[in-house]
Amino acid sequence: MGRAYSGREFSAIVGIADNDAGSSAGAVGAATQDANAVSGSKFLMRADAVNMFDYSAGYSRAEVARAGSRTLRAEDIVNHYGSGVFTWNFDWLVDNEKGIQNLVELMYPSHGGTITTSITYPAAPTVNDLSHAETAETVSKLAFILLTNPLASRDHYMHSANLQELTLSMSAGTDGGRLRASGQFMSGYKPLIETNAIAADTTASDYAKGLFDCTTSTFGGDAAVVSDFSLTISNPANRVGYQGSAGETDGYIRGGAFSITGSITMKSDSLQQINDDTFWKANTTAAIVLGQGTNIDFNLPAVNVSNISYNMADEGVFQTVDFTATSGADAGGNLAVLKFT
Amino acid sequence: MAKQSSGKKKYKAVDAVAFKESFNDTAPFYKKLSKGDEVSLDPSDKHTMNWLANNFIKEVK
Repeated sequence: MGRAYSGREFSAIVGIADNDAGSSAGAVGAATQDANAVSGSKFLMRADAVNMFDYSAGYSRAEVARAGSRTLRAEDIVNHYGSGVFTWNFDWLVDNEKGIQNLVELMYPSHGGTITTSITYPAAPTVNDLSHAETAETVSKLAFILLTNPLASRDHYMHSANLQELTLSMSAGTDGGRLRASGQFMSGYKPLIETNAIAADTTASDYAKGLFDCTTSTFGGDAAVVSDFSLTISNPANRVGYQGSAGETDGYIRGGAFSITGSITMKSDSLQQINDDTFWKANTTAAIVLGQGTNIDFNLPAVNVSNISYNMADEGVFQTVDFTATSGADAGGNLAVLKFT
Repeated sequence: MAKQSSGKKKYKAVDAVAFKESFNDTAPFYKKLSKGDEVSLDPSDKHTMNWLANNFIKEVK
């Protein structure tokens, strides 16, 4: 009998590949990205539980039932490994500053700011060259993920990964209001199953901010007593074509819709009930500011309210506002500015 | 004969830093408002109305 393993024996390291070094070692599609990471970028993601990579969509599969037989022969199933998409989902109660900075940066690698200060998701996000073997693009920044396995010869390593969706959430009634991050990475390259000795650069639990640290909370310019907040950033990546006999992707296109949606639940007080008319019914954009200015801050200058629902509790009516971030009138604003420092 | 009013009023950013962070060059008078300067805006303009509703700017009396 073989040894059994617990999921708690696995851990996850997420790093940013140095795709821009001009060296093939860190190029888009290079399996050697783990040894060619952006300095200090590898962080230990202490997720509640480590999910395994989803290999299922990595196959191109067809079952061809041929005439003359009521059953499938082995030759009637076409199963090509490598020509699909591999994904990794995570859910993490944020406890590392570099880690959360990495995630918001990976959502929009070509941002122009300093990630240790803030990140701006602008009105007109630019698109990177993510073609296979690209080494010169200055802001490509793909990720790699290592799932370390207690069975040392079978660490799971995904490279050239795009973080294509990220949800940031806080709830007064959950996890002490602390910030939680969940999302999905994708890669069009086959993960490697190997012995991998790469270690994290940062393992500290040095970030513990959340809803109760947000000393400023306004919706539509008026004070809001917030109980729940959630933001989903979406910047999808798609594999393009293939190269090589393995059918791996010829790079990515990441030029689709960039969107930010979310919801905010707040006390339905005399200010916010009037704001329902000002913004929702009048179809004008509202500003959301939630944070403390530096260490944790969400600034969405122009959200469009898509729905409001009310919880008519005896203990106090709360309203949940669903929204879509916009760039404001004539694209004169940013979708969002976030700070985690 | 009385001078005809242009209908514009003077405004400034409530928080110039926050204004600068939230908007971009496309917005009217972005640079001036981002510096905390007073500017003349049409109160019926869509930008003005939205900034007032969201407390980004305030009228200067």
